[in-house]
Amino acid sequence: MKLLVLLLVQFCICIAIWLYFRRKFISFSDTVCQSMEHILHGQPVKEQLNRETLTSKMVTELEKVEDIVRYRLTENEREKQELQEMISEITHQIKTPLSNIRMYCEMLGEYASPGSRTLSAGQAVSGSRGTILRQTDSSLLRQYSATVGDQLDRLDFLLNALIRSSRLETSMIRLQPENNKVLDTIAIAVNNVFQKAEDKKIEIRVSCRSTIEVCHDPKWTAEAIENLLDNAIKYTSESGKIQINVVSGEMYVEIQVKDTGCGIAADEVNEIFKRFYRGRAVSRVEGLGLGLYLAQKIITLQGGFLSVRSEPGKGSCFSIHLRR
Amino acid sequence: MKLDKNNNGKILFRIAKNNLLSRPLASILSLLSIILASTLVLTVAFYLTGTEEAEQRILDNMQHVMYMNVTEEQVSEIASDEKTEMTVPYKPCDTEFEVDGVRFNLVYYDSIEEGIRTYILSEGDAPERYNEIVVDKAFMSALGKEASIGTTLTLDLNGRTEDFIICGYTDDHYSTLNHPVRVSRAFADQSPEMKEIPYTALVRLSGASDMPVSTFTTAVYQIALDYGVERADVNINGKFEESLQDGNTSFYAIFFLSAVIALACGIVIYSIFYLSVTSRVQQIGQFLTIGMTQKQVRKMIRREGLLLNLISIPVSLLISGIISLILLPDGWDVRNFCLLGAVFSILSIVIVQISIGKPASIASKVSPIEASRSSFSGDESTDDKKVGHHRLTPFRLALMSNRNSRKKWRFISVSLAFGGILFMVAAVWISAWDDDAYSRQNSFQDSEYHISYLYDHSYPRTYGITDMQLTDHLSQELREEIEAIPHVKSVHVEQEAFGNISYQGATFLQSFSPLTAESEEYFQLDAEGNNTYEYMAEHDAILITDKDFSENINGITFIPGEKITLNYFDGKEHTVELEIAAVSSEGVRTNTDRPTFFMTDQTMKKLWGNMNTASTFYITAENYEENGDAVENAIRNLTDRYSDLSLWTLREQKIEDSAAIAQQKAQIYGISVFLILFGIFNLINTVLSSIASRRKELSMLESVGMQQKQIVSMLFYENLLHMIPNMLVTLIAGTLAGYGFISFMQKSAGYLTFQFPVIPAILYCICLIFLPLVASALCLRMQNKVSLVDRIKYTE
Amino acid sequence: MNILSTNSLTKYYGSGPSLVKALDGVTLEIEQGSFTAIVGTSGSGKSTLLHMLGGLDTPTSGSVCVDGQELSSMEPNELAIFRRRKIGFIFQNYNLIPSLSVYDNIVLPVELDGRTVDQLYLNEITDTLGLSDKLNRKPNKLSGGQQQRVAIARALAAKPAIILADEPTGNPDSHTSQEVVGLLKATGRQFHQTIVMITHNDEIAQTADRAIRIEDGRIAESRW
Repeated sequence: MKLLVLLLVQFCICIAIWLYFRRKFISFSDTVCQSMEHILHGQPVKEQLNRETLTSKMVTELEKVEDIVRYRLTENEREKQELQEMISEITHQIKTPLSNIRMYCEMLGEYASPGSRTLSAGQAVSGSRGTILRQTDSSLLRQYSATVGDQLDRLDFLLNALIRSSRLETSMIRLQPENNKVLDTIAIAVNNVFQKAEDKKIEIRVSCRSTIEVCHDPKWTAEAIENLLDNAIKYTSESGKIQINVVSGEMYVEIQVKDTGCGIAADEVNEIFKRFYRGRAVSRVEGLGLGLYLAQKIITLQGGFLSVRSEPGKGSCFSIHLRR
Repeated sequence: MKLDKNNNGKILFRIAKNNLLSRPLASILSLLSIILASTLVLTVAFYLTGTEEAEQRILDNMQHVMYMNVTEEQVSEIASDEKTEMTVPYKPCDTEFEVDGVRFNLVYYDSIEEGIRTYILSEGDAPERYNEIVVDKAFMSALGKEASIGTTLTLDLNGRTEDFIICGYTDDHYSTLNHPVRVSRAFADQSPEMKEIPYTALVRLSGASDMPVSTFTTAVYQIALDYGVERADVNINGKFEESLQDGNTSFYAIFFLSAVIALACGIVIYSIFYLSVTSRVQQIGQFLTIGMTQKQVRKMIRREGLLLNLISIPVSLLISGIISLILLPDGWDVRNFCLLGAVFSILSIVIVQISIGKPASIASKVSPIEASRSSFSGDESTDDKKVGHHRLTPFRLALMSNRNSRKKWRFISVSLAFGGILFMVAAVWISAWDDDAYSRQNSFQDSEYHISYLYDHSYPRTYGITDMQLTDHLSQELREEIEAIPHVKSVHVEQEAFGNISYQGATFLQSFSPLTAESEEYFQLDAEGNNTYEYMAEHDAILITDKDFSENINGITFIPGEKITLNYFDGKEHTVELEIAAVSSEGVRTNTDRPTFFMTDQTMKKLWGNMNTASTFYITAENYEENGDAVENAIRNLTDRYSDLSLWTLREQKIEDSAAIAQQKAQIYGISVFLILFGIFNLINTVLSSIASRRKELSMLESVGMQQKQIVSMLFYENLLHMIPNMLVTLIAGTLAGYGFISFMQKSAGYLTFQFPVIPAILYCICLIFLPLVASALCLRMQNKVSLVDRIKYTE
Repeated sequence: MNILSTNSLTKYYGSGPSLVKALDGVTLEIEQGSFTAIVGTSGSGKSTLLHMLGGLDTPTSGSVCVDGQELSSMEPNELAIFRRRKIGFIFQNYNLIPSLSVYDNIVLPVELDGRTVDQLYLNEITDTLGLSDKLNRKPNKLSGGQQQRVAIARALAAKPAIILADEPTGNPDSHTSQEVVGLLKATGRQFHQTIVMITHNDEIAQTADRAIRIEDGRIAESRW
């Protein structure tokens, strides 16, 4: 009889304990849910600030997560906006060659139509740059065709660059990083721009130990280097020098492209990597403003980064850092 | 134990473990301190409880009470009473017999192992036939004979010889000069030597161990009454009675000793951790910057202490268990071991945690900004006093460093002082011990030889030794003969006269000692009644001292003014009534068998006239160490002429005491050695950890060009400046404490005399000065294995 | 929104003739998610400012507000918990715990809070910093640069909202400086972390979103 009572008492005690802990558990979950409501509304949860409790720890983590998620959302928004801007920029960029082509088409049409065989001498034709042409018929035709071709080339180039950059961005093109000799990759890039450099009598020197290897996609990296070299050549005056150095660091391999060009103003340094950005000093020189953007994209995708040091009037040094 | 508490406790254990591992020197030193202290306390605890346990085991095999002068019927009646759980008939015969120079006595009882342990046979059987006996193997070896069953032994029984067959042997291992020969029942009932001797019943009462003392004594006397045993014939086992009264004395002893040692250990731990914390300020700052809360810092330091404890507990349990087993195998008890072990383990954890508490909270008060500073462990309270410019010699540096870290040195001093005092007390205890004093403590205080009348308690006489006194063997001539022996300094004659007292219905034999007018100490006792020589002489009245003893035995109360009836004998029987002049509960001398009943010499002369009332000669020799044996032989030659005189010497006493002495010595030396070790260990400990905590500072000095030699001499001066006051304190306070301790101990062990332990004190002082030096040198050499650069760079 | 802001922050040491004005009225605001560089000559109060921002030291006057919480009104224990959850410190002298292994050092802030380690993320960081094979060593067996990287990993492991770096590139060579900054920026962008870095390296200051110059305990110049 006593035994039975004892068992019963024990049983009751167990149930009581279980109920007690269940209550505590529930209240814990209630506190957390409540805190989450506050977080959603953007209010700080004062009671859970900096306490040495499990609830406080959880709530702090939740706040952090909310912040990161919100940030990513705003980033997304920003990127969408950037996209919009890009689209309008592209539209703008396309408009000009398109309108030029249209104009020359019209002119060609006019030229080809009966009744307007010859242009009287002295009739000025305004081209896309406002130059006045006084030419003979066939050379005029050639001129027109060449201009149109030019504009089409430009369109082509633009669209190509855009496609490539968008494909890169959406990872439609996969980079294939492998251990390759850096010297080889540089060689490819230099080869591609050699002619342009020669044209401007700019000397390109390469200093790289042939043994340096790093994990990278040679084709795309070469393109990035090529873009840098392109810029260097573009913004360096005749008989300038371009020096390519490769330095092995502790965490990264650095490929430096130094030029003796016109340099970049201090306040522009952060802007140059943006899409379609063209430096003030070089607004007259031809270019799209996509080269650096693409190069940065390529390098960032491989886990590296680009950096630049520049002194206006003296020259610039662009560095590609590739992860070892 | 909030449910919601953050679960970040585990990492602290890991950090604590790593902290301990990365400072091996400090950790090992702390560990050793805790182990030493715990072992000490545990051993003492085990020892004391073991002693109790051993005693208890002995008591469990002893009788509770002896009823003397009983008949066989009485024995069986007592046995059949349900109040008794065991009754053993016993016939002792005190007559001294001798064969081939070896003394022996006869005794009858059955061989019983449990309950009332009489003797345990190691070989053979108990005696059954008339002439069968059981002896101890030591007896045979004293006789120079081989111990085999069936040997016939011829024993000289004072006039008659008898052949006995040895049917069994015991192997008891205790030293005695008077060997017991166990005879058969037949012999006890029929032999001329023993048949007149009455039986004694050895009795154990049922359920006695759980009774309170009063119930026990009542029951004992009730049985006596029921079966017609005289009150004077009831002999209660004193030790058993004591065990019923209180078991707490050993508890207090353990408590006190543990408290002292715990305090010492606590101080050591405190100082080690204090030093460790103050040298880790930068590291603690680092933890705080990373985000450790103050509570976590405290917990971390406490965990370090806990880890040390967890390691030290099994080790100290093991060591103390082994030691106590060796010291006292009889007292070993598993249950005691587990219980005490558990209690003291918990206690040690508590003490370590308490003594770590302050350093832990100091650690937690560190500001996180300390992580970025690389300051040395100085006190924050250094004031900007203008110190003049002096040449920076090692001595000056020592002075300055002492001034800077005063707080630190205060701890070191206190803990050293404590260890030193313990050391001194232990040293004093050891030097207070004197084998000679132990054996002399009772009756041999002033003399080395006692000659007295051989009173055989197996043959009680109505008037005690009176008829032997009438033979005048302890005569003046004998005295002069003894005084004539070369190197005998003096012979003191003790006077005693016996008579039978009847008072308040009780009758008992009692001896009286005479008092002269010069016996001041007796008249100055705190007594009820007229305690003066004049009164006693005038009224022929008696003085009773230590009244409780006599009152308890006889169940009466002495009331001053009342009269006792005395029957005495001086050749003729006389009866007289004497008034009780005074009664006192105190006594004068310290012997256990001191006289308690006194009358004036005048009264004694009146009653016994010219009878020689000498009862004992106390003989003192000159230069006992040299001449003792020669004198003894001479005396023995004289006393051998008389068969009723017995000689008991200091030498024989010492032999009897040898086992007890050995045991006591083991105790004292054991505990003292421990305490001494503790003191020295504490010293080494503190010095080493203080050096370890200054590693960076010393390396800095070395890096600016200070030679090893100069560093060592700077440390030497530092030590000197501290150790000298410390030494003084230790010596003075330690001596005082030692003196106090001995005085306390003298209450129960009067043979201890205070002597200043010169050699140990000198040794300690030397250690105090030079040990730190040696330790520093060694420490430095060890440190130098790491390159100087590394030492400065890293914060360890 | 501003995650860090101070108002007339002052810190004086000593008194009378030996008064040292480490900070003399600094008021600034730092936006969340930005990378701010603090430059100035040595002794100008840069480190003191950083310590104040992290709640390591208490100001003589003025206030510091981090993530909407007023630091001066917090108790030391609250501050400690705040630090371990919200702030990642990279010290000039690394401040690694010598008795713990590299791995333990890195995950210490996380473990002190009883949180579980994000093993994937941790592996990424240690891979990038080149520490994967050194996780079981003790700090005193590493070179200066490697120790620096351990300190950086520790600051990143808990994914704190704010990273305060005191000359993280001060000790090793200039190449690694670039790399360190690059890494910090990358993770910062990923987790919306705010980085405040003291540096005397002008190039790095240029790559920051904003550079603040401190001279004699005051803000001399603020460049975006």
